[in-house]
Amino acid sequence: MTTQATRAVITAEGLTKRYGSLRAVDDVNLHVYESEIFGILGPNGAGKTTTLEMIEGLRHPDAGTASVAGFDVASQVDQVKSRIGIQLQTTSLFDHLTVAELVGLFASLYGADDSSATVRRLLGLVSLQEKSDDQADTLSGGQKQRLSIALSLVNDPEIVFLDEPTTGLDPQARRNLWDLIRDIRADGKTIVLTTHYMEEAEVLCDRIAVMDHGRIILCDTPERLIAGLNGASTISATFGDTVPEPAALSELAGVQDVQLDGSRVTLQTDDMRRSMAGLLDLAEARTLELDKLTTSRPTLEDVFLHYTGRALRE
Amino acid sequence: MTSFRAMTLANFKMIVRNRTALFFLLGFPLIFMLLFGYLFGTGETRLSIGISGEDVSPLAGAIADQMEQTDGFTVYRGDLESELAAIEDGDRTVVLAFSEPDGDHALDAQIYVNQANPQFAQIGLNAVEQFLLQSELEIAGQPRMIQTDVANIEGDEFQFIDFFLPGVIGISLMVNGIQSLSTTFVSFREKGILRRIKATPFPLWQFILSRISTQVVIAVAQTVILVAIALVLFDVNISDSYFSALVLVVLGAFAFLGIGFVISAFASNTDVADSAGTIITIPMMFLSGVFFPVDDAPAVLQPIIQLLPLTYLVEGLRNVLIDGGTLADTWLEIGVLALTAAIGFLISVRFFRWESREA
Repeated sequence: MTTQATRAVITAEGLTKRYGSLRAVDDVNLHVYESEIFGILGPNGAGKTTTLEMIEGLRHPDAGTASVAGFDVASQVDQVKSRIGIQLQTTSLFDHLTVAELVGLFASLYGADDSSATVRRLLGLVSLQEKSDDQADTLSGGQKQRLSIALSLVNDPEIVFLDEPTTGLDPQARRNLWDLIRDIRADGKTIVLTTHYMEEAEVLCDRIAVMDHGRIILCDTPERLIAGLNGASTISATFGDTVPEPAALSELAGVQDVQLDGSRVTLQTDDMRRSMAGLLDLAEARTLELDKLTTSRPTLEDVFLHYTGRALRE
Repeated sequence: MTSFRAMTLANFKMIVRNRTALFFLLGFPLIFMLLFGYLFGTGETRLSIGISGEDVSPLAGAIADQMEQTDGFTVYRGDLESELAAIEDGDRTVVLAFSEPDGDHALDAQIYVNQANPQFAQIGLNAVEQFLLQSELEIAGQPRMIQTDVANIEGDEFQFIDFFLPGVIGISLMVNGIQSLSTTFVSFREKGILRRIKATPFPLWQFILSRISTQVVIAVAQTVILVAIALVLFDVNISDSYFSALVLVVLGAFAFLGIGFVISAFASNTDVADSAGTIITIPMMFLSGVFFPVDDAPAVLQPIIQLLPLTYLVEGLRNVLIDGGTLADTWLEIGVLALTAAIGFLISVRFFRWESREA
């Protein structure tokens, strides 16, 4: 974990939601700690949103309990609502109101400070100052997401819930949003987000709960989830005229498997650093031409594949 | 700002900035009023002449017959009392009352003119006097045989627009309450805005009350604007029962909002809400006596007519605005509108949904 905090600000125990015979969420237990970015990763339909909504108090669980910021979600929902910020997966907002008016309105609905200075500060935080007098439906996808994040911050919440904040955004807009989410965390807030992008979960989240078919199958830091696979890393090298013989390659430290495909060599290794050093030494000693050299570590994709037998794709 | 005030202010901004909504709330009833106002409002081209005492002499009878055959006159015959009652109700422009000659004239005639409608009265008086002068020469062969005397009567002016204005107000309240409310509310649900509101500590009942307050104020504003335009353009003849009219307008707005909320509760999306609203409002518009009196409508339609809240709103508004009635005179209308509102709100509370359907 990258933060030193250990106080659980969210505790969910045995959360279950059924729709007919389908168990959309099945006995979910989780703890979220103060000031961390906690990701719920899973394919569409895994139950991520339903889990989030039961924790937010927007949906009643059929079984189980949740407490948020020290308040029981079932019996103290008003205290919970005033301490959390929510971005829903599909919020389209009131038509015919400007960006600044929407932020001011939502601040009022939370009974929070709705002064124009506060509205300006919030719009500055999400880089929408120049858009403050535009109507919300004229914003781009990324701008709309930033606006709805601004709306989730109007009550200066302790915990911010973001439901698929980057879905549908282009890569640049997605990176901007990651920076924004890190800024919000730096402000001392705890963030819970859902995503079906592994890369996002891996680079953005301190800890990840991997969800599939309504169940949490794993929950840990991205590094430990990947390490837990004991998976080999891959080195892929393309040589010039001369390709070293497989026997020499398989003797390199850490190498477990060697595959040759013309001038291309693929090595599986459990010790990337030493295998790599050995490969470079070999090339240097024999003055071999190296045209291309790539390495890859196992990813959350491999983690998901390993535990579910399916690829995590949309 | 308090949450409630902020939400209500935002509601107003949303309606005032929405051109489509504005058209249906104001433009649509205004077009109706202008269209019908100019077509029928003041354009009464025939002069209504009441004649009494035509049997006092053959000359009087001959004049009456001739007048009846003249284009531009619509002649009513009756005794003096009923004809004077008619002019007071605004149903006659001029009443020509013949009587036994007093002195050496062949005939005495008293001309009563309805001064409530001065331009019209002047035309009527001139036309009748001209006609009598002509008659003296043609029928009797000599002038000044008829002794005429003119009297002014302050009768009710009545134009089509007087009849129509309460109907137009009723239409605009109906569109506001049924169409505008239900399509807006269903779109809030469809777009997930209701869920976003649910995520805030702002209570649902306040959110709905804020919407209702907004629409009721809009209803009053519609009424004021329509009445003002009718006064300026058509010189509409209304009583000063403003308070009674306000009570009816507010109750009418509530009744239609109740229906609008019922549609909102059951419509799965905005299109369904819009269609349901149209199916309800269009026939109601024609069956509620907005454009023409429905007393003479076929008996088979009467039970339907008597069920429509617009019938009662328009009837009540006519009673207080045109005939100067009081709230006590409109207790039935008030009761029906209040009952409609209560039933509507009860049904919609029972079937309220935050979301289009369970995900």
